[in-house]
Amino acid sequence: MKRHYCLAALLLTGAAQAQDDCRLDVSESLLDFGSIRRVIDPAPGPERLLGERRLSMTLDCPQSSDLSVFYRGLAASAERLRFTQGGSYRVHVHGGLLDGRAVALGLLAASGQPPIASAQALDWRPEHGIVPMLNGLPAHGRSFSLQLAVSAYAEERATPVRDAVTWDTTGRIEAAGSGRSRALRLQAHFAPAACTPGLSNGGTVSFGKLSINDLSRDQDTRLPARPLTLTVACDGPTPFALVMKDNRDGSATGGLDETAYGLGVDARGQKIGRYYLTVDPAQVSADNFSRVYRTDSTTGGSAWSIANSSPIDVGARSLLGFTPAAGSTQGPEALQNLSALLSLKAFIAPLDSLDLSTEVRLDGSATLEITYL
Amino acid sequence: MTLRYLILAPLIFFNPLSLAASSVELSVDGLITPMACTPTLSAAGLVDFGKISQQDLNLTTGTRLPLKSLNLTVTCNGAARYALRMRDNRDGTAHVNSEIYYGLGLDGSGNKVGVYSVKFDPKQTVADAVPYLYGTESTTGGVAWRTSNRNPIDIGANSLLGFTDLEGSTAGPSGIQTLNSTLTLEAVINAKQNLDLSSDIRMDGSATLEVTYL
Repeated sequence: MKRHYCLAALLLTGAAQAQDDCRLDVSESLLDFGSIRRVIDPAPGPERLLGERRLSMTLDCPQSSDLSVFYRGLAASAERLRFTQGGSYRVHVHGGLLDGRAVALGLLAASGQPPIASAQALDWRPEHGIVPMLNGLPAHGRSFSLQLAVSAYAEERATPVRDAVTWDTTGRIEAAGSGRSRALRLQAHFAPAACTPGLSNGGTVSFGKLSINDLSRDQDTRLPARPLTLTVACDGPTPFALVMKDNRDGSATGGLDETAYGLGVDARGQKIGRYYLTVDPAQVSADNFSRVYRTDSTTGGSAWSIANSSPIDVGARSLLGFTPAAGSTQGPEALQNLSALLSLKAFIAPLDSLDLSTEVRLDGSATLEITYL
Repeated sequence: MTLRYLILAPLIFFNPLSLAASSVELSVDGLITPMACTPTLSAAGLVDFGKISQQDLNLTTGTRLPLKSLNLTVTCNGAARYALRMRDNRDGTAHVNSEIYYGLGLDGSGNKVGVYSVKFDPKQTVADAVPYLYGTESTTGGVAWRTSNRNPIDIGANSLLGFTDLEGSTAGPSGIQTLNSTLTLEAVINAKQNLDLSSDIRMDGSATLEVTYL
């Protein structure tokens, strides 16, 4: 409770000091540049404009005073301010009014110094001041208003994101004479590049009824391979990899191979069999590449195998990606559309190990995932 | 129950992959059935036309060979609903393109020797103690069946063929334990002008009759 009283007292003191002082207002304190999803840029460049937001600023004082205002924020360059690590913004000012009269604007490197530039409209440089100019000289007055146009930019390399991120930064407009200030908060949201995978026949591979007549009693029976088409459609060129999680984990017959997926268990809990999902790079097409090669990573994407064309089974832990560069160890290429004819190879456990007093239902279930790199 | 929620919740919220990954489900289904049916063909499934003189072949049209009969028995370990189809092991050698025509192979110059078809006749078929059998077919892998009747059916490579004890039924084959049918095989040799008769031509048809469990 004591702390609360203390805080209240401080606030009152501050208000008392400012009572006879100036008043600084901005029409918008939060500039939201919206949600940006990575799409193909018709004219790719090193950076992209996220948008422009307009606002006005007004400084009113009870008597004629120095009305210069400074912009405080981390500089990205001489003209721009930092918008987190991957971006920048520019504050352009125009439409200056001093006590209701249109005035030119002067740019100050520091308070009290003569302007280094003067114009009707100019870029408000980081840590610089803007002062109303009358007859080529900085002028005092009681009211100064200003129009601001804030343009935000993102470096192109910063826009592909793995998870959704929000850029958030704050600058301050500060009145030199009164010390009053107002925060200006900028936000932009980035959505991860989205790829949508699809499987033919709704992802269902059905083996129908298998008679005990056609299955081996004492060894695995290999069922005829079933084709399955995978498509991956991304909203822009995106480096991605595939992994497939087994929703029947632990039910695969055989060893602990990450590429063997389980077919579930019978009424007595016996493992029914296993299947593999094989990708043959010769049956994969992507974008306009004449050929694509596969590369895989057992290190979660830190290191990639030499890209080659030999078929490989999709794994539960290893990442599988594609590149048009044979022999590359750079990992998957950014692809927008991919189509692959996969082959599903299933093996049924020896019948002697199964409870055949009733029908045994094959019940494989797996989730094929896109991992963004 | 409470414990279960406690375990699940962190997985949902803190797995970073679940945020970044788009995914699609794969399901693999099927049924291992204790039903077992064994089809057996008379003469171990061999149909021999012997030697045919080239003088007996038509020059510009196909030559129909005398019909051959063969006997099929399908024995199951219990009453089983099943259908039949026949795969062509000489696929692509039939000079008529239809799923009911099976190829007789190629001659020395790669010409298509001829075709054959195998007719199932409900009137020539008996099953268990059923007085009358009716034939039915499905071109949808067993999803839909045509109205059963007594008309003969040429077996196909893709369509399913079955028998039922019900007339006018669209319910598909009924359960049968033992079936016996006299089949008729009809072969047609390609027109002589399309063949290379500089040496003997071997008729080399081969097909596999399959039982599909329903």
